[in-house]
Amino acid sequence: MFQIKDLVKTYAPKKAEPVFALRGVTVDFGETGMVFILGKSGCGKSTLLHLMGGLDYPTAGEFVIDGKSSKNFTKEDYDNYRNTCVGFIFQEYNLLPEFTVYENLAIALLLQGKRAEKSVLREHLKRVGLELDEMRRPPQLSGGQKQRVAIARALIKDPRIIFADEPTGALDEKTGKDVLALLKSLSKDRLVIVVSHDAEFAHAFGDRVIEMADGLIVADSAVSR
Amino acid sequence: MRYKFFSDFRALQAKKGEEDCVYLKASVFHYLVGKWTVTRILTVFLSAFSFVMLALASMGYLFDRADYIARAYYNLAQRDGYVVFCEDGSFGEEMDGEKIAALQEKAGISFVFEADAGVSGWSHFIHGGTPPALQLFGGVVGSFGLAGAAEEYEAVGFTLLAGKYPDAANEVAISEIHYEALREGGYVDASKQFVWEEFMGEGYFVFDENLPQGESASIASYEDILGKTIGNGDVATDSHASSYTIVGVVQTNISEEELEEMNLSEIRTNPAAHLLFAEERAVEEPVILFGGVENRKTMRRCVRLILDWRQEQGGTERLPAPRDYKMLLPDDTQTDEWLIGVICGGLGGVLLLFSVLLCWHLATATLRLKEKKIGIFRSMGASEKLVVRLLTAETLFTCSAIFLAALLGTVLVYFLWLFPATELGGFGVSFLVFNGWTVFILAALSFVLPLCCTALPLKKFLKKPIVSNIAGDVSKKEA
Repeated sequence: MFQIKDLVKTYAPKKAEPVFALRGVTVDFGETGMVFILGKSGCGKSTLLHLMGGLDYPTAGEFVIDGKSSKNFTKEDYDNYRNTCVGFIFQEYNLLPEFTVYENLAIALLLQGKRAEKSVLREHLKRVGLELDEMRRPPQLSGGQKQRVAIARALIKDPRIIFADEPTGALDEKTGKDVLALLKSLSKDRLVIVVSHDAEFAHAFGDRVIEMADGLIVADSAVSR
Repeated sequence: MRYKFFSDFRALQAKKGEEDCVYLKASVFHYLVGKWTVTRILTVFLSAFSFVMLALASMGYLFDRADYIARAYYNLAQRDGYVVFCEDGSFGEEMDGEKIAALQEKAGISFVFEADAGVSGWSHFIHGGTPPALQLFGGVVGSFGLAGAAEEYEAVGFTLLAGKYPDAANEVAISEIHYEALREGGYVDASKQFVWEEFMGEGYFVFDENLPQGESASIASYEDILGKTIGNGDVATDSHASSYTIVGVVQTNISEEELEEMNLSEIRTNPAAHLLFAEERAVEEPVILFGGVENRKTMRRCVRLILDWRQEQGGTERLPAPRDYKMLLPDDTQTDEWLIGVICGGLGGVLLLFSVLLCWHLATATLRLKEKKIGIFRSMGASEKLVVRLLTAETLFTCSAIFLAALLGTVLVYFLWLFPATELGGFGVSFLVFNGWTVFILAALSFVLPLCCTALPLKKFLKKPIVSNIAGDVSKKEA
């Protein structure tokens, strides 16, 4: 369903040596399940996630989704891909503070040309374990609540794939576990790819763990429980 | 798999009146508009001021002397129904029938006639001399001869009171002023009292009152005057003399105020015009009266033709003055269009540099401030086109504000100061013109400059990957 083939990403700053963030990564993913990508800082895991999520463009290589290669993507195809196919969750939540919680979710729907019915918004918030007043704004929420709202925002688009970049990085352990449990529940009917540096969480919640080092995959195994 | 592409800005707006939906009617717009209010206001006013200066400079650079003169005389024509050009007593080029016909054809005006080719000496045909009523006009009425057709006279508002408009070379219609004078004094045939004299190489008729008068008759109605003759000279002794039969009386609708400026007298026909302008009787006084000038463009064509003819004859480009018009002529006036152009252009140009810098700075700073938010927006699926539209809409808002401020400023400066200061009295025109070109220049500057200052930084901004946008953040507020 979703494949990455020989993805390479090189950063070439001026007056500095080029940085090879990814050196040729090839992975096949299934339709569902929770996949953790582990590695130390600077190993290229976030870069890989950004490339897969369409937030950056590879130096070489491609990803293929439903037989369509990203090499043939136009700008509009990338926009469509981000709009309908994927949902992104960031470590720092990246909610829009000027908007209410409901409006943050509504934007995702409106960008797809759908009506932002309050009942739908409420349902998705409930699904992530939140029951909030519609006038609440992100600065008034706790870290865990913000991340749940971010998950709801990604989920409301009904994406095929959810990418989460260190979703528990800014949360305490208990809250982090709750968030990962939520993502686990979502992975039953879609693919969830989580970048993390926490191996314990990866083996506790993941169905598959991919380890990276120096821009390459060094291990890729299913988690047995 | 949904690869549907939503690029319509309206996709961001929920339908009104649906309370079960979330509104984002203007939220996204407001979200993208925002900070740096003082800088925005400064940009608007500085840019507007610069553009006002440049618009004023353009008035100087676009100055057209022929158009200036034409506008001046057009105003006169509009006010009076006609305008008369004459040399005010001096003699200049010769206007022959061919030139007059060409003027009519090329200018498209209803008729042109040579004034001061009227039947001079007609007052001698009043029994008892010039009546007191006519002495208001200096005792001389009838210095103009008009040569047109019935529809042309009616186009300028004349009305036939009795008889008909003349249609033969030796026919003439008189104005109601002439009729009243003849009615008051009575009619006498004085044609035999005109004698030809030569003086300093020129010949003209003089009235010898010692010679016996002809038949006299009282005039009680229009019909009494019809069929009578008037003229100058002795028709029997000199070919320059002409006699004319009165065939009509015409209401020329001249008010008392206008009488001192323009004394219309005889109404003639086109054949008479050709006779007047025949080569052997070339008119020496360049007196041209325009009637029925319909628009400024027509007047401009007339002026241009006259200027061209003057140049052909080696004269200056100075037009003859409107008859009896004592005020400064538009072509005599000192116009300082170059001064306006240089001063305003220089000041406007300097301010323009600052305006460009401010617009560029505002655009760059705005993008920098909103970089992360735009990145988040795009990560959620907003297209590049949508982001460009939203940011362009914000810039257009700024452009509109600049345009309105500049337009208001230009209008105020022009109409409250420049026009009164440079208006040519009596003609009601200034050498500086506020017209469509001024508005166009203001609009072009107001919209092109800020949009260009935004487009280039925006293009550079959009080349960056989304992840770079999300990583950059200069806002103090965090979600």
